[in-house]
Amino acid sequence: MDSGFRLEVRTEGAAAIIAVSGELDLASSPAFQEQLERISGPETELLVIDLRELDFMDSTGLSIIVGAHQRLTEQGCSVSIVRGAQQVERLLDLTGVAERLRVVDTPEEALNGG
Amino acid sequence: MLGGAGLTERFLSGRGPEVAELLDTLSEAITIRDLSDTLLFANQAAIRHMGFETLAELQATPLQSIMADYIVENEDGRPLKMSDVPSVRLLHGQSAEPLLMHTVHRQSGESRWDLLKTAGLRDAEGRLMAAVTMIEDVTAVKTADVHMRMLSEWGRTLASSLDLQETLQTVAQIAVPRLADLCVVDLIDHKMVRDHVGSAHRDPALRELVARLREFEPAELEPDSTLGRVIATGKSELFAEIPKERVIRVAHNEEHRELLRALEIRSAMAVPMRVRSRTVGVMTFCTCGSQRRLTPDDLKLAEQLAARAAIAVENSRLHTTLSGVAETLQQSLLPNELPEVPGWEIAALYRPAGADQRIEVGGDFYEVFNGDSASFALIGDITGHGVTAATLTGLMRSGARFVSRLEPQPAAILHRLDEELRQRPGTALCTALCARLGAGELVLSSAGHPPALIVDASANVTETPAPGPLLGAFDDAEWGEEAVAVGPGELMLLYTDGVTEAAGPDERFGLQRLRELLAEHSGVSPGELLEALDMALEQFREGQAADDVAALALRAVPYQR
Repeated sequence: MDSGFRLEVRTEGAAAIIAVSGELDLASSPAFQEQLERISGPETELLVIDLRELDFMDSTGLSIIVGAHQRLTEQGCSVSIVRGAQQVERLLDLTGVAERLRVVDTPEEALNGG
Repeated sequence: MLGGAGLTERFLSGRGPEVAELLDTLSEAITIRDLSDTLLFANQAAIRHMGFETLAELQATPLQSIMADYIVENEDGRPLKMSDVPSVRLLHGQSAEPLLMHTVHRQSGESRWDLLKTAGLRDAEGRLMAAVTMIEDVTAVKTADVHMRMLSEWGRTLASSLDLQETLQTVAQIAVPRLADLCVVDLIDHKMVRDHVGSAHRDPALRELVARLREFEPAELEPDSTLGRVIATGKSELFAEIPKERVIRVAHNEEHRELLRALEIRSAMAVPMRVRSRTVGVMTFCTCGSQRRLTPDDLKLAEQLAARAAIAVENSRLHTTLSGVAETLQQSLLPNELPEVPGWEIAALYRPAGADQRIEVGGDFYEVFNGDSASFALIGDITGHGVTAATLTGLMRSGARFVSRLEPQPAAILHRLDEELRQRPGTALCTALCARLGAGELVLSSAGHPPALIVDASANVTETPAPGPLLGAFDDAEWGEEAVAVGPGELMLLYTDGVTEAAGPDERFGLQRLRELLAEHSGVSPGELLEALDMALEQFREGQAADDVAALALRAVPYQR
């Protein structure tokens, strides 16, 4: 099974948007982690992790998001997640992440603070 | 380059001295033979090349008998005949392609690579009159090329496998026949006991003989033997020419003597396999049938090869030690046996990812224990892999036991485990499901873990509630408890995400397949259910498991004490 993981990064003002697609698992997570580690507050005020195109995420991927959230919150950067596929959504719900991180429907929603 | 009818005629009429003088100044060997295979001319380089003093001496010796002094082979080690020599072919009207020829002088054992190129000399009418051959000594270039290729083949072999025995056998095979006719690899332990791990002989018929020869050699190396000395000093030894009497002097009896005689060893070298300042083994190289004499250059190559092989040995031993550590760790991190829990029949399944590579330890865990006031079942998954995750599973399991004595509630246990994880540096996350096992009833608390599944007697599958967040992630987390009744004939499955996330050719195993598997196995015992699950995952999965799998199956049985 090919994970076909892809990662796109863009910035908008003081916000960074990381869009991931394919499968985020043990094999693809190092690339994701590396990308997240380049982001730090307070230069970046908002990080948006766009999961709309993500087909699958395992607990490794989830722990990277939680780890980044812990670190960035301390640095004064807030983290938003754009919700994605059913499996990904279920994982966020099940683990209580959906309840504690800001989860939105589109990157624009996160950027507009709406 | 030497074409031209005029030149031919001058040689044929004996009027070639001034050309001969010119040719004598060349370092390449040049010979000219006529149609009757008579040597008309050879320049000084050619005369010396063939081991003669004067042209007259060389002319008086038939080519046949010159060739008889040498073992002559092509690049692949196939013996060459007179009819393969380009000048002979040309004079017999055949095509004369350049020939790369390997020669070993029988007497001296000297090995040489020659490149032979032949062109025809024709008269004014274009009739072939003679063949002119240029012999170029390409020994240096060819040897360097062979050495480089061997080093790279060895490098590939040593990098490709962790099976030491197989690797060293391949290594011996690569050395033969290019470096030696016989190559033997022995590993040595700290008591100087040798472990014969590989050997190769260029002649397949003699391999049996080499194997029989091993039986005569003592397992323990004596310090005053050649190999014993090489290991003690760490210095290699070259025996360019071993007198026949000396070869057989080491024989223990007549049969041994016969075997040694039959091998016809001419030249040998013993090279230590050293890594850092330790000698882990010794490689022995011999030439036999090829009659070649081993040279200091050969020794240099052998030393390079042995040094590389030594690193492979060291890596493999390190790997064995490490996987031993990992396995011991893993063993210590898993309960050996599930305890008897009054009122419950329980089975467990545990498959760490990549189990056949032995070095993997997993982050999945389970624990079933009888506390002071109640029995508990715990299943969980530390995110991440490797030793860090594995050691944390130990913390979770012993932590749960400890907390249960003071606060025998599943939610309290998860709360303390969360605190424990959050006090650690870095992010350590864990999903877990903790159950207190009562009579026909469970009290469940979940921390971000996949809900347990229950299948009843009519094959209905339900999910238990899963309210709490995962452990180690949030400062403000709270966990609740749910009581779940497990009636007679009902079967409950606690599992980690390695089950539903097992990757098949096109998709993941998924919750739906798992529910169907449970529905199909309504009414079986916990052990049978887990066997079926294990088999289903094995069949579904494509390639190596990427994640650990852990599962507990429970059913309520009439309470006995």
